[in-house]
Amino acid sequence: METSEIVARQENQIENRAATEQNALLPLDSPERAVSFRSAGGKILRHVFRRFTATDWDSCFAHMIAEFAKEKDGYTQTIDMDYAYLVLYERAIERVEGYETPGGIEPSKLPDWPECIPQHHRLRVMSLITNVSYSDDVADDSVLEAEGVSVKIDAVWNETRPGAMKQYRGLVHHFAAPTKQHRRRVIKAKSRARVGGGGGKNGVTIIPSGHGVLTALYDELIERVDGYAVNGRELTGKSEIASQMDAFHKASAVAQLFQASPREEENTETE
Amino acid sequence: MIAVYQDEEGLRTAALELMEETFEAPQREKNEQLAEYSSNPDAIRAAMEKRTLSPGYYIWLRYVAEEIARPLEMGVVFHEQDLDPEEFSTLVILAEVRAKFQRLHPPCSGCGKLLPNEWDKTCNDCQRAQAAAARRS
Repeated sequence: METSEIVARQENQIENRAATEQNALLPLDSPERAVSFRSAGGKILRHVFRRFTATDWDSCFAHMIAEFAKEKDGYTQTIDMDYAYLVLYERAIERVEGYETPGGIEPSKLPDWPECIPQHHRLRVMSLITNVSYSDDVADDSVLEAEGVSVKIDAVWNETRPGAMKQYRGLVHHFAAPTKQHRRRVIKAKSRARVGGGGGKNGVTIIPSGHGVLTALYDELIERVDGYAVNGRELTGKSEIASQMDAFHKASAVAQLFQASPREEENTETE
Repeated sequence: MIAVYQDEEGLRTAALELMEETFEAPQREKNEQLAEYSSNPDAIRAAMEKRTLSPGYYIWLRYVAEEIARPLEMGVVFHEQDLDPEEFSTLVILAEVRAKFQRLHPPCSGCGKLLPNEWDKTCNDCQRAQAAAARRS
């Protein structure tokens, strides 16, 4: 088998579906979330989770830290997400399918469940669960809205068929216009540093995750969303959105709202 | 674990280093050019380095300076409930350190430019101008 063919088989197929298509609402309350992909050997492996709760995400975010260490010329920055994602995986995984075990025992019955699942598989699954990005499904973002600000995101949510994941595109989060105080809270969250072992001079600077602030701001600022459903109908009302929205989508949308650096496509011509 | 926003002594040190760093920025630029042609650029860069503390101190100070102190100077009003105790104490530290920095670098009596040493009275340019004027008279 050609190397490129193996790579192609390993790559998870993500199928796009615009949120505006009929029956294409993202079901926030699906009792299970299944992620599937093809293994290096071509087998379809499924990882099935219960619904991720706000507490699950809080626990995950609490394990995300940015570390800054002094170097000769300035400092290096390391952001470790892997451990946080492994913690989340362990909290919410219910079962896996497609793996072989001695005597055909259920993997979830193995004594070292879920660590028995290769770590790179668990991380791959979490990279699909957290596959949320700024949507390029924006016709013209130079058009200003009369009231508030909208953010559009694309998100992978569930498998559409074995081995393929569905991506929902153009999910809209419409916010009340944020104030300078809201912006300051975001920057403050990114600046509340602590210094670890080694003391003030040589210790490594640690900045805990600011996701808690992002999700709190989401609940304060959100006005409406498009593309999401609970009980088969669109979400309506601030309180329903705040209570039902996935916390990772909340944090991702607010992060886009307060994005400080230009996006890649925002180019300035120079001569 | 040290919460930098509560370490007043560390914040004082870091704030003074940041102000010195800004003051010496033109000289740093010249030294940087020198370092490019030097056989030991790391030694030149190390000599220029003012920061002695972990990066977290400078990150927090930059936040307070840019998001609170600067808007305050421009007339933006913050209500008491807008600031938490750590932000308020860092503002006080910044004001105290700025006063110390101004004592360490008094303005030139001629042109007002900040001087390198506490005991200086006039800058080199003004001294030269005064000497030239004295010669002419």
